[in-house]
Amino acid sequence: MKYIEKYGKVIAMSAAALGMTAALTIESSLAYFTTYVSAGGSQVVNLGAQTTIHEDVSNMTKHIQVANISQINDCFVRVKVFYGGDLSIGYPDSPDTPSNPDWYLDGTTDENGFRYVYYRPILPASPDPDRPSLTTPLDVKINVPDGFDRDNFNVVVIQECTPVVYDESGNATADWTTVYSEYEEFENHSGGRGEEADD
Amino acid sequence: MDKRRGVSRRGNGRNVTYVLLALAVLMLLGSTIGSTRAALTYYSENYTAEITVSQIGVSLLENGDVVSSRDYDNDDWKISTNQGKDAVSGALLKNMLKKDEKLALNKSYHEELSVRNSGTIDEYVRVRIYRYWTEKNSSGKDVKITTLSPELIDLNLVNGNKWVKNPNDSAECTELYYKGILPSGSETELFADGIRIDGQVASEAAVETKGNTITTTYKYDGVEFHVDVEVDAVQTHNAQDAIKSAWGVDAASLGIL
Repeated sequence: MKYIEKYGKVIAMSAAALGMTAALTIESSLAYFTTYVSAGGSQVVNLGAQTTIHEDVSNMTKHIQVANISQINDCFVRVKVFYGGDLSIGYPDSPDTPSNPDWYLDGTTDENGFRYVYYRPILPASPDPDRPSLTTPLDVKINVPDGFDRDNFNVVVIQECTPVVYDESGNATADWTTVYSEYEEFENHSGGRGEEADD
Repeated sequence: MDKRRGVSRRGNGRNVTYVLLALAVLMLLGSTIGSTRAALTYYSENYTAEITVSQIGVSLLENGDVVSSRDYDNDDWKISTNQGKDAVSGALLKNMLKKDEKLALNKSYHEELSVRNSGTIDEYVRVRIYRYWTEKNSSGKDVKITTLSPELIDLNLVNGNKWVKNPNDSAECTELYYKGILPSGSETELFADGIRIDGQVASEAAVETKGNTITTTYKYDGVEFHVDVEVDAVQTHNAQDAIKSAWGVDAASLGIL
């Protein structure tokens, strides 16, 4: 007891020093070698399209061309020709096949019997807004029955465009199944999906 | 008596001499031991510093080129990136598009990503991949878009047998753990080999007609997709605890040890 009383302080101090040393040792053994690196990148997705339709009529034939006036985005285009009454349409060399091989029908018709005609090549964007890229002409022959007023009939052409996408094989393709959902910012704007042109 | 006393004094004097001699020898020995210890300590510390134990390092590679590395070398961190001297983070996707090429939806672009152990000790590695969308707000500042799914940024992950996916991933952050030790100087198998932006990003649009001009405006026109990659490396010694401490995961249950 006497011994403890005499050397108690020294023992306590020694124990504390030992504890601190041990704690320091433990801390250093818990530090692990680590390192890290980071990198990042981004790209802008430019969407959007601007197309215009041009058409002339001569000899009861419509000459239709579509222009891509976007300076950024390429697109695919298609047109549909509506007509009424006893009119019908065909193509200069065939009733069912466009003469220009750039244009083709996919074999489907809508509920009213009208058909889309698709432009095969990509219609590229043009850096120069004064020189937009144009499709080659699609000639549509208007068949008017005998006795029909040739100066007063109505044939309407609509055109649509869709951005260029790629399929699983990496081929450029058009996705015409895209649903154009209501888009708040524009929902009050008038106008349909296609541009109409009356004759 | 005087004679005896004289003998005794001489004897005592000798004793003192012997004691002093012995003390001198002891002190001499003591000082030698001390200096030896000091020398040993000195060299021992230097030896520890010279040993390559602390030279851990890691590099991220994109299409075979190092985009960012951070290696411990000569008591300092050596950082290098493909963004220049002062940058701490590398740049990805810089060469994704060729000159004047436009980003096409659904098209798969070449984007090979892997990790190299650029240190001198073996290590375990993991990568964290962040995918997200931003757009510019009215003041031109980038803000995150939360309505556009990160999954539309399709980074094609490969070698799933070597890169173990964290089952608790979020849509925005994917964690991949490299299975096994990555030896010094070695490179992992690729963890990604391509990137593709899903065409669904163009699924919402509005069409406006003015005269004979149709303008199709997409909801997500002008958005920017981002891919950020972080690579972490940790020592292999006491790996289970080291990984738990550094990454907060149980390496054994992930099956990466």
